[in-house]
Amino acid sequence: MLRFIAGRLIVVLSVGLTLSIVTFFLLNYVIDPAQAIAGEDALFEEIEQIREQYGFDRSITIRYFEWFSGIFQGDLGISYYWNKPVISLLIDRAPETITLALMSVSVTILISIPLGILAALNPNSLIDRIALGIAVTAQAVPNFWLGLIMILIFALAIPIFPVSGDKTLFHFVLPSIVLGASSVPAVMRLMRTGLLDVINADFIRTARSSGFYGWRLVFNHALRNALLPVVSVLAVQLGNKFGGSVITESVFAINGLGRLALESILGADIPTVQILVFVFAIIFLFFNLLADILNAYLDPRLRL
Amino acid sequence: MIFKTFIKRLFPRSFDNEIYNLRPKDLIIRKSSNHGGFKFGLSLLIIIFLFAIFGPIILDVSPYEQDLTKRLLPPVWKEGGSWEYIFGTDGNGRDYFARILYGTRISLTIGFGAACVGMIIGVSLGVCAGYFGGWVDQVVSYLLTCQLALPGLLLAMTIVFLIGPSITVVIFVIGATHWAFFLVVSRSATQKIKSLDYVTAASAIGASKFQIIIRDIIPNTFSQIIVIFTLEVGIAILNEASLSFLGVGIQPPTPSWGLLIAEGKEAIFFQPWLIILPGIALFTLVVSINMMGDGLRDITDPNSKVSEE
Amino acid sequence: MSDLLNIQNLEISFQSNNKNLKTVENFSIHLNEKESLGIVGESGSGKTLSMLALTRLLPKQASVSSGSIIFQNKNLNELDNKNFYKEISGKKISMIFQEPMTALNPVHTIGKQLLETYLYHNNVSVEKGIERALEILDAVKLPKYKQRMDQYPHQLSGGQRQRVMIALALINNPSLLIADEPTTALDVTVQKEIIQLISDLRETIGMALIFISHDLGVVSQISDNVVVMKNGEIVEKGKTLKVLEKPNHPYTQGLLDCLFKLEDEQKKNQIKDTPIIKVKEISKSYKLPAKIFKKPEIIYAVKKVTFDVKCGETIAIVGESGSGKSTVAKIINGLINKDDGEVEIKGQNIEDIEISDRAKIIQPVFQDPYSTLNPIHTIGYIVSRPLTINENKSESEVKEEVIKTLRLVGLSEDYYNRFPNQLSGGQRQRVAIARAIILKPQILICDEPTSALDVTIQSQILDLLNDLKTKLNITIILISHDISVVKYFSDRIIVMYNGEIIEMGNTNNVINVPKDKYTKRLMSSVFSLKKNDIKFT
Repeated sequence: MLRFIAGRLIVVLSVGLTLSIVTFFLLNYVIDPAQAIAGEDALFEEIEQIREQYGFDRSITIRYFEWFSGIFQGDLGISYYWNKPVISLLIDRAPETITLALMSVSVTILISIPLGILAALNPNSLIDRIALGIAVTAQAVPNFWLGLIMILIFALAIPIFPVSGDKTLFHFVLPSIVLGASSVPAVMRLMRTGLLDVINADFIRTARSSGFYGWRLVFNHALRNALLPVVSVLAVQLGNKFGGSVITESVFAINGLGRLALESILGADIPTVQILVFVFAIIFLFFNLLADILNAYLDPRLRL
Repeated sequence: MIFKTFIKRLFPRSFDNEIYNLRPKDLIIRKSSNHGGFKFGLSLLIIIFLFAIFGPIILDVSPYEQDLTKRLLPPVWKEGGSWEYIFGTDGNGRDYFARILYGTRISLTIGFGAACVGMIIGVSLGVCAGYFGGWVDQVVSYLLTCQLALPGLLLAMTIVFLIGPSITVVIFVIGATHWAFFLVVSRSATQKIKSLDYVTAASAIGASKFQIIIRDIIPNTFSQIIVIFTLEVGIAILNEASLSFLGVGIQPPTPSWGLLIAEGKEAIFFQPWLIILPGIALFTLVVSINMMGDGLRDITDPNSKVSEE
Repeated sequence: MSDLLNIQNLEISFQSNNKNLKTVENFSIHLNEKESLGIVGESGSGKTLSMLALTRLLPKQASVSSGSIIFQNKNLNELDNKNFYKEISGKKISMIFQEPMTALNPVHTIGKQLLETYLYHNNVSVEKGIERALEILDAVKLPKYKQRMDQYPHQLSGGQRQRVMIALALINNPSLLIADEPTTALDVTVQKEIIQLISDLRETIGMALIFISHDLGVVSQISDNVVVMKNGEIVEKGKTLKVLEKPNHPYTQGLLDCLFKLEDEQKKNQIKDTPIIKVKEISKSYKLPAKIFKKPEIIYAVKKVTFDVKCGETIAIVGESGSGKSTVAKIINGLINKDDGEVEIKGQNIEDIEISDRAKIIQPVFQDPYSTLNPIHTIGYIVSRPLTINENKSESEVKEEVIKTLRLVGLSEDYYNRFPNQLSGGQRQRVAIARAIILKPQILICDEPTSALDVTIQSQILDLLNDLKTKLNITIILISHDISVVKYFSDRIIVMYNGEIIEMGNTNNVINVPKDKYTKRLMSSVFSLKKNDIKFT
């Protein structure tokens, strides 16, 4: 088991290293950072001045190593736009996004797991059709639009939840529903087809031939097998929610990492953007690793 | 599907006359004509296509022409609406119907364009990884992990905004961040097909690797790839709308649906139709494509193919 | 003896596209306590379905439309599902299935699965349950049975899993055991052990047995009575001995003929003394996927294999799955690279032969008729492809040649424009043979060419191969696990075990006087029916 984790950890670290290089070069080489700060209409002299002022005239490799070694000393660079160390921005904004990510995954679980189970147990029934309908709808609704419609409904018709801001947990209810809904189709379908496959598997026929039936058959013999892939997908989805928070946070005016990312992009604040891209990637890799470990732990066939 | 397979195994003969005698093409046609969701999605998509291509030609409307005396007119079904502006007008007095109509073209172009870019990247990597295996496969897997780990939307936003937004840039950026599905599916399909006897037989009769990939492998992965393709078209359309909504995609005054919603956001409580209408348009288009994709998956599912058992 | 089971006029129908298809009709069987009955038939004959109806495991679209089932003087039709599952299935009637690899739940331990089934039907303490589970694992002769309780199914071999399945079925001492092809998926040597085990346990427990199989030979060993099914109907039933001696129905006669035919002498080729293939000390190993910090494990599929094949000879390589026989075949065919050793074909090193020349000398025929043809191409294209790749011929010449070859394998030219999915398994195998012989190769490598086919089709394909062998004077390397096919077909036998050749010699010598320990075991596990001495134990 330890060996397995170590192996995966090496992959994660090397991917992280690659991504740090990719992001840095993409944002400092493909895009001219001096031009980005100065703006499109800036004069050549202005751009040159900025280049000197920020040190962009030095070799890109040297700047990368400075940036990358800085990360390990807790120095993530200084934001041009906010005039603050990037690390303090991250610390300020992270709690909102973590709350949002956790709550939205809970929403996904609460909707998709029971619905997927019921649909699989009654294929082609009314509940199956409703579940499929929800999946098709949730897959086709643009996230930001769903947010706006929620605001419209909850501000005008049924004002029970606040529609903007991040002061209390209540403020997170609507955003979590919106962000959570985007994962519902995938997780529900996985739950449904997974359980359906298991129900038709040979070993369930064995259990039936031994006399098991009804809920006992489903819970004792089928559910664990069907939940295995779902658990790891949920972990991955949780990782995805951080990068996916951009839209929801800006619609509901939540001051989290996603909104920070959008504002930094619009302000051409490259130090903040590159750190955020890198941090989101690392978070994703971490949850991916967690999913692998969970899977190996839960599935005896993968245990070492 | 599983049950069908089960029955077939138990009792293949009873299906003899029904399906065994059909050619593969006829089988697909027959299955699709029996699939309600697929038929609905396809018809809706065809209508939207016709609308997008011929609408602007037949109807003499302009999405850019401003008339500041006619700002924020309500749509025809609201009080004060008129048939002249069916969907009313926006904050600059432009015909909202014309803007949504032209927006269809943008969504379709970007959706199909980006999915094509993603397909070319993903399938070529996937088939190579699946067929050659070994270090090729390891390199491709590594690329895949990198692609999955990068926050796609955030990266797309950054690049589009900083390079300078245009339809072409948006297509390539969305395509370049959406090839993971294609890769995974084509790789596993290739691995599976590669181990089948007809591929071994092809190399025994002297077919080259290239011939085998072109003649035996890619055509057989096609049914799975087309399913991913339709789903990716939907995803790309939503992605473009998100980018434009956030102000880092298509720029005004081009009438992208996402942009229309962003512009309407200011007036959300007073002129809600400004966000509702383009949202419905987006939803309808993506639903039609997804229903078609779901249908295709059912139709081409090898488990539902009597012949494959 | 008293009545145990009486099924009268059972009829099962399928709901498909709003049509009702009758799949089993007039199914009537009778079974006394402790008696055994064999049900024989090809796939699709309804033999499994009728038993699934008895155990209420029918797929959803199927239903019993009429007929009565009396079990231990109780009419089972009057029992509702809940009582049936609680009182009958797993307790009075148990069932074991064909696929031991997937029949056990992969995420629960063996012990948990046994215990749960026992405690469900018996109101006893957990300790008593564990005691019983250990007792039954011992009874099914599972090696090291005490440690198995905490193991998962994937840690066991196929034969061991089938033993666990039997333990699971017998843990509640049922009155009737239904075994649905319990040995078909297992290796020959294991097959015999499992059948012996079922037979022994039947005696000790004193239960009745219904044994479903496609193999008349196996059924005749274990059952007192036999029922032969075809297309959903019983065509013959009676005492096993009687049916075998004097079958009434032409279908049964046909089945027996197929079995007995393998006893006959077949046409032999002219064998020249010159070797056409020389295999010298070839080896092939595979690396198991490496784990980080751990040396990759190396598994030898083939270890220093040496033999010659003479021109015109038919040589059979036998062995169980994993013995390396298919790997040897692929190496000779040039389809996979070997690590070591030499393969010479007609005096030339296999690696030095141009691929297009190789294609004209040596061609393979595979086992699975469903994956051997590319589903998107027409039969005409598939058969013509060797020609278009390797020879410069006009379109009409190619077509003519293809139709000629199709006729040679017994298919009319109507098949030219059809697709593989429109053909039956036997027809597909004929197309595969046509593709292999169209370049007129001197060597054919047949890897289990008939083992995926029904018995009657099997003998047709063997006849075809036999016919082609003499007509075209082909040297054949036959890979098989089926001793009766090998005996019928080959001049010489090579026996492989764990990647090595352990015995080699003339067919009759190896079969009748095997020298090696494993070969002896292999030969004694064949259930052959001999025309002149039908014997029963």
